Amino acid sequence: MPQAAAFRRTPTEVMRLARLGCSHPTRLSFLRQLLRRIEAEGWAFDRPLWEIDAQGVGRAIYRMTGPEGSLSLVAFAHDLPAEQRSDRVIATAWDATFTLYDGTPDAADLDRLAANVPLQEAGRVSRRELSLSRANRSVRLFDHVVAKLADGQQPDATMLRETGYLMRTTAVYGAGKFGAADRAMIAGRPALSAPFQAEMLSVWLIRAFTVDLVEHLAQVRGGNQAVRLGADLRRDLGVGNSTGLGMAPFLVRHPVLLNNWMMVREEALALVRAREHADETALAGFRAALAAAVRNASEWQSAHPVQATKLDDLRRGLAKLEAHVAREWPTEVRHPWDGLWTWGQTHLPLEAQEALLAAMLEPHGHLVDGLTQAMQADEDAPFGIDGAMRVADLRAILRTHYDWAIGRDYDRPDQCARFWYISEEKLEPRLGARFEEEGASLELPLDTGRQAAALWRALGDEAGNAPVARFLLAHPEHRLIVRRAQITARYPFAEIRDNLIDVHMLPIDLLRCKLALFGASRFDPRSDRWVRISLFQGAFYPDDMHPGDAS
Amino acid sequence: MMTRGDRPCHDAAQPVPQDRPVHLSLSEINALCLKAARGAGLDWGEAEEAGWAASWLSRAGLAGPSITLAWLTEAASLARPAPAPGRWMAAKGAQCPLRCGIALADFADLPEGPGAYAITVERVVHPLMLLPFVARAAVWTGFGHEVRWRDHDVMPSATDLRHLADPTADEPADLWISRVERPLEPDTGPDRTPPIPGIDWADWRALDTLALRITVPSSTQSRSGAGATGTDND
Repeated sequence: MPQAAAFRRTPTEVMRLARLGCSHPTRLSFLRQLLRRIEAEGWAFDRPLWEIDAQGVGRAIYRMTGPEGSLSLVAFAHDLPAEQRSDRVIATAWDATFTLYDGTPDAADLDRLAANVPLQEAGRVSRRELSLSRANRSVRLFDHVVAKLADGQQPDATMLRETGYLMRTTAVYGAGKFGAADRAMIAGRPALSAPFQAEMLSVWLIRAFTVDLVEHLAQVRGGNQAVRLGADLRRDLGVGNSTGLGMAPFLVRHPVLLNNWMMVREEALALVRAREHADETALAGFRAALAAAVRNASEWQSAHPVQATKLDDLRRGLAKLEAHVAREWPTEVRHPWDGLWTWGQTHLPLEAQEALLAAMLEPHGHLVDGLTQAMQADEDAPFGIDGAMRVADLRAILRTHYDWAIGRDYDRPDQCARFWYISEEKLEPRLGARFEEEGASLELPLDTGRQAAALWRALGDEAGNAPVARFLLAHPEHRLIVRRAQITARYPFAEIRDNLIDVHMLPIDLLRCKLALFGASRFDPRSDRWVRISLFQGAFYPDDMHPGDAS
Repeated sequence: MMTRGDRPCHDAAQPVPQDRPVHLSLSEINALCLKAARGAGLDWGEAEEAGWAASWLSRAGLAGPSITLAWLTEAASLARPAPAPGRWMAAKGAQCPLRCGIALADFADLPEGPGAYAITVERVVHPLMLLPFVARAAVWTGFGHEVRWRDHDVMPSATDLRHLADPTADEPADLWISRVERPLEPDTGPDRTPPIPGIDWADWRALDTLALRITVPSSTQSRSGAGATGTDND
């Protein structure tokens, strides 16, 4: 697509934490891909098992059947005392636990799953399972909704809007975790080939389960007086997710995948900017997307000071953008989308620039949706090192792609203030303060900038025409960053171009980037390393698909 | 999504009875062996290769984690390779299969590698561990590579290699490696690969113990910093 080349953003601009931490979900996000496929292929839904008692305890199966067969969410509902309710990974009990089964489980499967899934990390699943997850009630809202429905009334719409979900997942494991099917086992299946589709399907079906559960409990309590949740309120509910540092290192450990995700999004933006003209349909779609973004920003709440400032930026930026679009934006000129984008670069804060990106992609599905096929990655092939590369060429890669890293002084306390490590207690990634906590000698290699700088110094003593293989034979300690550098030379969006051990680094920026790629909205940090989000708000349910919903 | 990162199956395999094999997915095998190798003192880049190799061997039906453990228990005393055209001599004793393998792949396109002429790598212990890297060199160069040692003669690719799992597989051997002028056999894909063998519980335990060496005990400060501020009963 040569016409788009002139409109591409560079990795230097895109792969900075400050910008990644302003990411918004787009139509390319993984949950949107799932919904489009389900709708396009007309997947059928049924609920072959519902054995939930009057206390809300029991099991249920939610089954989707598409062209490749069935996938079943097996749900276990529990009676959880309030004192055991924790979103942290250290929890050992939850309100509900789930697995996505490949096919339809029989009685023996169900017994096996019942003995393991409620235990989560302390149990084992098998290659027949594609995910393992759990969720806790959003207690105040959950109880309110049950009470109102039991009384024959609809719940308070403002309360629903403020929280946005009845339950929040606190982990959704996939890709071989705890014995589940490896990614390689399912990557070749069209329905599951895009990233995180099994996990997204699990969460979408969990959302349906949460609504069924409150309606069931209301029915038990209210009998004939009970009513079902109104369609509009139901649709506005998503499913929450509460997550911490555990997911942050993923983006660093999967550089090719990160590249493909970002490159697809950037190519989509470039294609839209390269449009010669803006037709009426696209303009109307864009205005609708912008209005939806404004509404979303007004309802989006966060008490966290960093996010509150960003929300303020977003709201003011979107207001400015709306005014510009309504009164000043010339749409009849050549490359009008590029004109709008360029204006935004000068006049909008980062939050609103990235929101503009999402709104610009929204009416251009026919142009950009096909790109998502390139979002998966073969991570095995690029893992090998090109040992025949000359040292001079490796130096050139560092100069080009790691200029942000190699000039820093990592001996300065502020430049190396943090260290990433794995906790012995739960085997989870955590972030420590190097000069205050023990454990820096067991640091994880997420100090990518510092490693690049060390490699740069070490290469200074080498002959330019020496092969990298010879250098690594003498210096195996640089192998990890040599691999990253060679990958980045071929996959330029592979590396986050910031110091991940800097005193000012915000882990929530990493989380925001990844969660936006999933399609998460209402990013709400509860600390600088712990967030809540919502998924599938406004989306259709398995039992109410209508044409056009997932467009 | 919301994945908690690769991790050894410490919690997960605890309920597995000690008299039964532990069944891990390939990604768990990779993570376990990577961390065990790092826990045994290897640099991160080499530890990554160990995890990858263990996963590759397991996919081919071999006992990747057990081979990794056997190698790790003596890795510190094994010689690093000295790549040279034709023959990689074992001047300082038995050679390390991981480092020979890594070098073999790194030098695949260089005169020291198995290009126009075959090479002999002397006295490699746990020679099976070299096979993933020979396969990588084959992919990298686009040519099949043949490996011979003792009475074995194989063209490694990620297919079924279970016939190589013999009791003497760990003993030092001279490996003769040659590029063959035949196109690579296509990868058979995950559906036709053999089942992943279970891991002897004691081997899993030993690897897990090594893996735990890279973890940091929790402190009050680390616990408080890891989660949200406020209650989850809202």
